[in-house]
Amino acid sequence: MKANLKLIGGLPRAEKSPKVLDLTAVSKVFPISGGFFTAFENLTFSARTGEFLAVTGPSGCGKSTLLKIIAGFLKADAGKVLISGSPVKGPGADRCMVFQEDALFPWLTVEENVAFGLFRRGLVKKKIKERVAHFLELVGLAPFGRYLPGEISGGMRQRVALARVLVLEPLVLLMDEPFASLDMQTRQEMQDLTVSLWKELDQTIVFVTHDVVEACSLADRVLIMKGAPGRIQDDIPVNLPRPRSVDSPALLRLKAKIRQKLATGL
Amino acid sequence: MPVFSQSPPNAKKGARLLLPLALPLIVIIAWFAVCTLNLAPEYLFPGPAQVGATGYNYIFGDPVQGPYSGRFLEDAITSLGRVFGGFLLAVAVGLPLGVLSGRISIAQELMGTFINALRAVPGICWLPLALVWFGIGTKTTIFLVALAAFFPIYINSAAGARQVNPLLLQAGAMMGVNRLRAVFGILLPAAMGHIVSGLRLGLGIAWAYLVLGELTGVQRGLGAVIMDARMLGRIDMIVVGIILIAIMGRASDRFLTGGMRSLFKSARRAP
Repeated sequence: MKANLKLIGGLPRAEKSPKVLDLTAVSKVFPISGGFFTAFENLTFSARTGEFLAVTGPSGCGKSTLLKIIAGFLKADAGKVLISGSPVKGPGADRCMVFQEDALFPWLTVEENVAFGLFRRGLVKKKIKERVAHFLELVGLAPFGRYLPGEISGGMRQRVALARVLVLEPLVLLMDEPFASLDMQTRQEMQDLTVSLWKELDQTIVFVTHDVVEACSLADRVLIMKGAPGRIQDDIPVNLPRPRSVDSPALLRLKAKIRQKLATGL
Repeated sequence: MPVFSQSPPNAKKGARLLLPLALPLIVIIAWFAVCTLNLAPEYLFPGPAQVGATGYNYIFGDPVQGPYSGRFLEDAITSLGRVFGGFLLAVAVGLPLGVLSGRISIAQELMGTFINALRAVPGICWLPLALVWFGIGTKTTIFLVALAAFFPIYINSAAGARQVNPLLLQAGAMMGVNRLRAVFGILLPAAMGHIVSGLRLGLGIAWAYLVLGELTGVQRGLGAVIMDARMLGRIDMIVVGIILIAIMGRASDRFLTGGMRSLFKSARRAP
C-alpha cells in the first residue's frame, strides 16, 4: 500500500502527497537583558508526507529553535504552524523528537524505554511487547532489550531514541543534530539506518544539522538558513539517487554550491 | 557492545565483605587493652566482658532477674514505633512539599524562607514546647522525630526535583504522557537519588531525636534505658544502649535502602 508511493531513482517520491507540516510566516523573539533577540522571522515552508527534509545553517540561525516550535516545546510569536491542517498547541506524540543529547530514561531498560509512550494507548500488554520487539529489530537492537541505557554505547542509545519515537508512528519525526556527538563511523551507520527506516516506514522527517554533507546525503530537500535574525535563504531539492556516496562528484558539487551560498549569502 | 563491570574474584569478594567489621574489631581490641592495662577505673570505663554480659542479660535475660533483664525487645519495639512513626510523618509532609518547591517557583518562594528559618532553630529548642503541648511520652518523641527528619527530606527532595534533566520531561511530553504520569513516571524516578539520600539522612536524624525525646523520663525505649542507667550509675548499661542504638540505626538504614530498591526500579538501577 505504501509501496506505490515510492518512486525509484532520484526523484523526490513525495512530490504529490499532501502537506503534513505547514509553516506560514512564523517568527520567534526571545527577551534578553536590555531588549529582544529575534531568533528568526517570517519563516514559511512545508513538508509533504514521506518527505525527508534537512535544515542546515550556521549555529545561531535558529534551526534548533524552529524544531522546538514544531515540537511544541516553544510557542511561536507570530505565524501559523499546522500539522495535518490543525494548529500546534503543545507537545504531542504526532511530532516526536530525537534529541542531540541522551534523553533516555536511565532507570528503564531498552525495552521499557521503547514501550514508555505506548502505555497510555490502551494496548494490551502482548501487543505492546510485539510492537516493541518489532521496532527494536528495525533499529538492530533485538538482543539488547534488557540492557540499561548506561550499559550500551552512545550510538546504541540513539538507536533506542529512534525506536521509542518511531513506535508511536508520529506524523513528523524531528531530529535535532541527533548524531553530532557520535564518532565518524557510528555516525555513518546511523545515517544509513535513518534512510532505511525512512524508506521502510514512509516517515516524514525534518532533520536539523549544521553539517552540509550530512544534509545532502540524507535529504530530499535542503533548507538553508542564515542568521541572525534567522531566515530561509534557499530551498534546494536534492535529486540524487540513493544510496548516495559522500564522495560522488554530484554530491560534492552540491556541497560546494551550498557552502558557497552560506558563505556569500547569494 | 555492552560494557560489563569487572567483578572481583570470589576470594577477594569474601575479604571485602569482612572489611566493614575491621574498624569495630580494632576498637574492641583497643578497648580490651585499655581495661587490661587499668588505664581507667572500672566504674567509669567498664570492660568489654562486663558490657557483653550486661548486653546478653538485657536481651535474653529473665525479666525477674534484675532491673534491665530481658527488657530489650519491649524497648526496641517501643523505640522503633516512635522512630518510624515520626519518620513516616516527616516523609508524608516533607517529600511532597519538597518536590513541589523544587518544581514550582511560587511554592519555593512561598515556603523557602519560612522553612529555612525554622531549620535554623536547633531541634532541642522544641523540647520544652513539645513537653507543654504533648506531655512526657510518645507524642512528644514523635513530634521531635518528625520535625527533625522533615528538613533533610524536604531539602533533598527539592534539590532532586529541581535538578531533573528538563530533556527527560520534554521527552515525556512529546510521547504524550499526562501530568500524573509525568510526575510518577519521570519526575520522581529521575529525582530518586536525591530522594533516597534525603530519606536516609532523615532516618538517621530520627534516631538522634528519638533518644532526645526519650531522655525526658518515659518508661520504655532505648533512650529511656540510657537515662535510667545514668541515674543508677550503670555505665555498662549506657554502653549497651549506645551499641544497640548504633546497630539498630545501621540496620534500619539498610532496611530503608533495601526497601526502596525492591520497590522502585529507579532506586535499584541508579546510573
